[in-house]
Amino acid sequence: MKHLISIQVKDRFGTLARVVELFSSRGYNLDSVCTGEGEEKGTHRIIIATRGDDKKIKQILKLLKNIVYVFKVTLLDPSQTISAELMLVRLRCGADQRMKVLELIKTFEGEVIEMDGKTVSFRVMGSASKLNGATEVFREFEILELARTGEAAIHK
Amino acid sequence: MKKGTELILEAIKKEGITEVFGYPGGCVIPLFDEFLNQKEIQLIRVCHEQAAAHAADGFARASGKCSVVIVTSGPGATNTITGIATAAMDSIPMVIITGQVRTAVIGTDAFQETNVIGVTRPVTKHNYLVKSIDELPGILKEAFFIASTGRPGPVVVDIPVDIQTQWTDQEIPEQVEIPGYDLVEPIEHYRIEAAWEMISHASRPVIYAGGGLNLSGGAQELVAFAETAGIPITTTLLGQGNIPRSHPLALGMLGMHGEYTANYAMYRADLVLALGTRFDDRVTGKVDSFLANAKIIHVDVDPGVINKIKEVDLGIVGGVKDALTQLLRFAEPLQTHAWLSELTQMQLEHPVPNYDQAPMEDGHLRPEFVIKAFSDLTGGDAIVVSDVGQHQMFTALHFHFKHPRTHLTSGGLGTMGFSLPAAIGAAFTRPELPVISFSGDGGFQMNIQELATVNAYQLPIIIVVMNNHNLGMVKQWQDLFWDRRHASTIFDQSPDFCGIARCYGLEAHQVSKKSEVSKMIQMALGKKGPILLEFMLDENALVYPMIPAGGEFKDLIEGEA
Repeated sequence: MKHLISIQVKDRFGTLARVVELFSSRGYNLDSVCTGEGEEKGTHRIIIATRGDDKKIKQILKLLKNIVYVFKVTLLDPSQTISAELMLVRLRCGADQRMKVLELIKTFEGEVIEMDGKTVSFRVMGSASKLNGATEVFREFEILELARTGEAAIHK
Repeated sequence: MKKGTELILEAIKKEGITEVFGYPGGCVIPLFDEFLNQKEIQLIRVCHEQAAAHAADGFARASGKCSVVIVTSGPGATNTITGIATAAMDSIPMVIITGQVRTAVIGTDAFQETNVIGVTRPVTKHNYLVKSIDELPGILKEAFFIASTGRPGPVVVDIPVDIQTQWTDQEIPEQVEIPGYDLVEPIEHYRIEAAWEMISHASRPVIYAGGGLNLSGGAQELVAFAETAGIPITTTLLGQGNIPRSHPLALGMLGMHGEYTANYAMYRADLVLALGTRFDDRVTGKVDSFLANAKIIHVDVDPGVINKIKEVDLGIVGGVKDALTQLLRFAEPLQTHAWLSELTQMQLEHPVPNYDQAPMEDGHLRPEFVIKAFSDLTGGDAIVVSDVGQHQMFTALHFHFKHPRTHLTSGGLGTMGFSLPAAIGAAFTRPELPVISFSGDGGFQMNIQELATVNAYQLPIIIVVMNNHNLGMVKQWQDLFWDRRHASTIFDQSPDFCGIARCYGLEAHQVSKKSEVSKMIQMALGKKGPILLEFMLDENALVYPMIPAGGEFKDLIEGEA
């Protein structure tokens, strides 16, 4: 089962590396990492998406808390959480495909950023599963580049 | 204004540490030079950086203090990794100061540059790269604090050589504040009450005590509680000595090579109080069958080990000594007489295989007999350092440990080559006790160069080589589970160990006859060392009892008695 974990850390050298390494060294899944400055100056919030049964998740939470400079670890309850992820895509798109592509972008409530005769660049925001779906749909065309931020999340 | 190197020594002094272990190199020349300006801290120079880490580890295990290692960048730092990992697995407090290349060339693959933060991250509790002189004093204070509080562990401080000679007006702080770093809180009264409630309803309770007892220092409280309530105690390899082996409530070590009765008690128990231990696979065997019929109470400072391997009925995060001190206030004699008699009967029926009366051909001494002779002749009043393998288990089974912190051994990582350098560290701690370093003929060669350190500092260590001409523990598995195919485990090309010791300037004797064993041990104890004794052993001795890996109590093999 998928889980989002919110980790608040003091902004110190190597802390993100320790958090990420905890997953790699113990064979835990790490589906996405999203990090940046948190609400307090000098702190960072790291949102990690992972999968595992209850026992594994409980263990992950305890091990995360054991890392020096991690001061709060929260397992986010999906019903009490707002989450979003940003995806940037550049597609090869000739004039003949343009209408169809723009239509699809609109369907996903995306926004065109740049367009020329050969390519279109756009962004889509939403849940990880929405972006997974969108990615599948746009694979019908030639995706030149695709980048995702990982899910950011806060309490409702 | 103070210089970086002055601050480093000041930080060490503030911790009350008077011996550090190290090896010089290009990026720590300024720091080593600083030692010449003072007399309070002795820098013990070993012969290999791995040995510096093990020596510091032995120092910490025997003394209970945090220990310090100082090595240079690149290979100096990477050579300490095994020593750091050994300390990490057994929660030993240690600060490792590594020199680093100049700040300006970090990241350019400079000469003797290694990403020390990267390579040490998985084996440290925390680590630091010092990026400016102004942050050095705070980092040093934090490093010692983190290494020695909570669940202790090694902390690396990587200090570029240019920063060592820079000046700052920053002082070493008196206090540290790390948001979110959990200090060990006193255990709430109601949790202890709940624990006692469970214990008092048990009819076959057992205490399962681990290395946390050494770290928290609760041996007296452990024995007092067990005596008051009438509960038998089994210890892990690292927990040995927290109850004297000769105590009527001591069941000895449990686990893969544990004593029959210790494992029987765990199998039969209806309640187990696990103290400062982490349910290691060498203890549990098959997890599903381990303590399948017992209620479990688990006390540990690290919440990460509670419910990690085995779901427990009551988990208590806190210090073991605190828990025992509080439990003592509740303790009342329990009706465990029948249970204790049952265990005494088991001990009589299933003693540890003993070879006191067995005839032995010259050069084919039984290892059990040799270890027991050391135990009898010291009366357990010794710091015993064991390496890894068969002799380690023979030591655990046949040396009757009497005091906490007197069996120093690499329990978690199982590091061959640990014994001699760790004994070097231990030799600086408790002068009233002789230091005996046991190694096999395999492990001894992994840090044999440290004979030079023993000679240089004339350390009172009795170095014992248990020579059975093979890599005994691996060979034992090959004998039992691999059709006796001895791939790479027969050591028939070993050098003359006594000759080597003499070349290093040490007195050395080979012992082959049963009748000489006690005499030679007495002689060595009289001299206090440095001295090397090589015992020529039966090459086919196997360690028993044994529960094969992943097995359970019913799979226990007793071996011939």
